[in-house]
Amino acid sequence: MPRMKFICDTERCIDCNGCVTACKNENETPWGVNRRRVVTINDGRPGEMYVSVACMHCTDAPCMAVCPVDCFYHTEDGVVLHDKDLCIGCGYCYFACPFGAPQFPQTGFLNHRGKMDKCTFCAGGPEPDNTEAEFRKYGRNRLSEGKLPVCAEQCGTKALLGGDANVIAAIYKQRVEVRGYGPELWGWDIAYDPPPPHPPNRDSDGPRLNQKRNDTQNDPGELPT
Amino acid sequence: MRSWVLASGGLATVLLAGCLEVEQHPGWIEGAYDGKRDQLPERAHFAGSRLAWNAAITDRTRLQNEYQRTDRGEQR
Repeated sequence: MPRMKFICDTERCIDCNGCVTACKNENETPWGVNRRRVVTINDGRPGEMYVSVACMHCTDAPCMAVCPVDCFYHTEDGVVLHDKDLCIGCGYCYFACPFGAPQFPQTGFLNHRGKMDKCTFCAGGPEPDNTEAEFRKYGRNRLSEGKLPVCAEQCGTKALLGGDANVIAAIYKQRVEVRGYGPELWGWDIAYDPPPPHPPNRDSDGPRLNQKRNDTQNDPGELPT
Repeated sequence: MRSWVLASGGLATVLLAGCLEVEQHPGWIEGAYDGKRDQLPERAHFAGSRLAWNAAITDRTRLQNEYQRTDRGEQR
């Protein structure tokens, strides 16, 4: 049984915001609601990176834990969805979510806060699949058409991967083995004098051949400028 | 005399306020999804075949690996 997740490869993301635009276009979310955002890390410093963030469809979702009306559920594929007919727009999920995923449209009368809206992994919601009612409340249901979320599928650099956790983790692992990792991907050497490529090491789950023990993921530390 | 009245009044207020204390920790309620049931994704376009749907999704997921499409992973 698949367990749907997103991975954003910060070494590849170029802050183009294509995922944000594609998501808004596909799901026709109202003004002010961005189900996905691109966040800049280490802005203006060596090692500046971008990461595309939306609902991460947590296996142990805090929004689900705090919801006073129990409107969240996990689908068979591990996608976190919610029932907008039950949601009261209290905003508890917004404070519980570590990724700021829940969004609240303010397009109603006197701009009052509406029912929560969030990334659905393009899986719609608890309405009959591919109906007008589902689209109006939750957006497109691409998953039922055998497609992946549009943000991941349209990503130009394939920084954003979506799908079964095991498969996308394997894709990411292969990338890391081929191209290198973290600090070794930044600076003069990689631009003008790249080291010889590392041979892929797909047979083992042990440490990578090119792993530097003291490096932490995406933390360039004190890089020479 | 007046101070005695004030003191006893204050004491009575404090005692009564104490009596009005209520339990502030409601019991644990086991939460479960309370909304409408969702359809399984394979229903709409895959005639309920979980295997066919899963194959389509897995194909799409694997297509995201451009090393596989371009064979670059093998060459390097």
